[in-house]
Amino acid sequence: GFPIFFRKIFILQLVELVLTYNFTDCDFKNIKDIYQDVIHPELNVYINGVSEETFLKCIFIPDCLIKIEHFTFKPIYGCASLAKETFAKQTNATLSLGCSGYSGIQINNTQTMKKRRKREVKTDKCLEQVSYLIELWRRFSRIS
Amino acid sequence: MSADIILQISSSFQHCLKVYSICVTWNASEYPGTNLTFLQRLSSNETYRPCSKYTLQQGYTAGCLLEVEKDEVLYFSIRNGTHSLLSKSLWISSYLKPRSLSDLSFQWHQGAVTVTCSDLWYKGLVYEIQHKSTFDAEWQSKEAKTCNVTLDSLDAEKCYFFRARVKTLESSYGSDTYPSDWSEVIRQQRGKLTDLCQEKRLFPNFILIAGMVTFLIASLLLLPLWKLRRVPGMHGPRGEGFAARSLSHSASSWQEWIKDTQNVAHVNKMEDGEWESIPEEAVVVQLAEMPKTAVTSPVYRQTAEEEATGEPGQLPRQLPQGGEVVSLGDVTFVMSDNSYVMF
Repeated sequence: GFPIFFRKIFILQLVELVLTYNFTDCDFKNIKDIYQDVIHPELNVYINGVSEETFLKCIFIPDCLIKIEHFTFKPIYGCASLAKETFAKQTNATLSLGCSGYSGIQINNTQTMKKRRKREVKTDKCLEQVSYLIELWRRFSRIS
Repeated sequence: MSADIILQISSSFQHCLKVYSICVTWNASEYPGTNLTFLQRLSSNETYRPCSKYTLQQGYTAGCLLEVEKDEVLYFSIRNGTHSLLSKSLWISSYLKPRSLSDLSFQWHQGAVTVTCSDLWYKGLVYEIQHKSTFDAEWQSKEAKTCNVTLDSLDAEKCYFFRARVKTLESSYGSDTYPSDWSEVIRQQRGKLTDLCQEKRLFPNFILIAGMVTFLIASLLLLPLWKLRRVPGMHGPRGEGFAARSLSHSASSWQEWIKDTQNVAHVNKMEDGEWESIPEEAVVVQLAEMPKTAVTSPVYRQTAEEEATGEPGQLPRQLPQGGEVVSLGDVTFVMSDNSYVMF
């Protein structure tokens, strides 16, 4: 009953922990250059001058990339997915190119077709997520 | 967050001390004459600590100076007693003002110069070099991510001014930072540091030639006028006085003529103002070489006639016939080809 259920949850979390890429084996300078020239302008286009009083911090370089990946590709309530946005695709490509062993995120194209209408809707939650991303990327570029 | 409090935040990195200095000042218009308190912490797990170095304005707290060892998140709160007026968290580097650059060096090579300096310790910066010549009104800028900037198409013979500063990248620090102050302006000429610029007179050739031509034309026009001014005048002064200006001779030839005629008796004025009587016989002097260019001045003739009336001891008025008459004050000459008669 319950013990079996919780055991499965525990195993799944272990698997997720093992499979989560740790972003330690990356060309950080290359990733930073691409962020400054390519990803940063797209983030500004998305945020479009909206100033969010949000704050999120990362201390070490791999920690920053882990959180960047999380906020870019992990859907949350109120912001289904930013993965289809231009800056997200560029982030996926940059991390795949710059980090040895990182396979990137597989984006479901079927979902893309169904949710095309909603893609362009920028919810407040999505703007908040992107504000977090901007803070994380800035911190990453200062320390890498 | 209260909209009535205006914050001004700036931070800088002290290279000698290896610390970040942050200055947070506030303007709380609704709380004049009130000592607001500033509480801060560097971690969400810590408790707030009061500011240890306040800045004052008119005797009341107006800001807080902080020093931290690294770029961290600052959590702070401004309170009036126990009531929190504002709470905020920010990266210290978000309000960074880099220090100014001071160790510029120059390497000239084939119409270009490379300006270098020591890169600052922190990343995400862009170095801006500006230059202009003595003929330029505006500065020209070039930027690079390291302090190593090459400026092309420069003439090393010209004098150039250079200055530099460093700015933060918006992609790394956001838009609330400040550029550094400009470095000192440095003059360079012929590949060397100089205090004064020595520019060649780069007058266009045509201006030089036109100026010379204008000068020559003006000289040619003015020269005849200048020569005319040197010719003695044709009319002497009115009234009494010496009337030798009526002659066309130069002063030197006139002096020679005087020497030649020095045996002629002169009319001398006596001490009592009367004129010495002269012999009735006219004095005749042989003047074989005397030129006949003397011109009789009608003014002096008239003057002589006026003086001739009513004065004792004057010369006889009846003049010999023929010849040219010349009057010099009270003296009258009648000139002929080879002689003259003085009266």
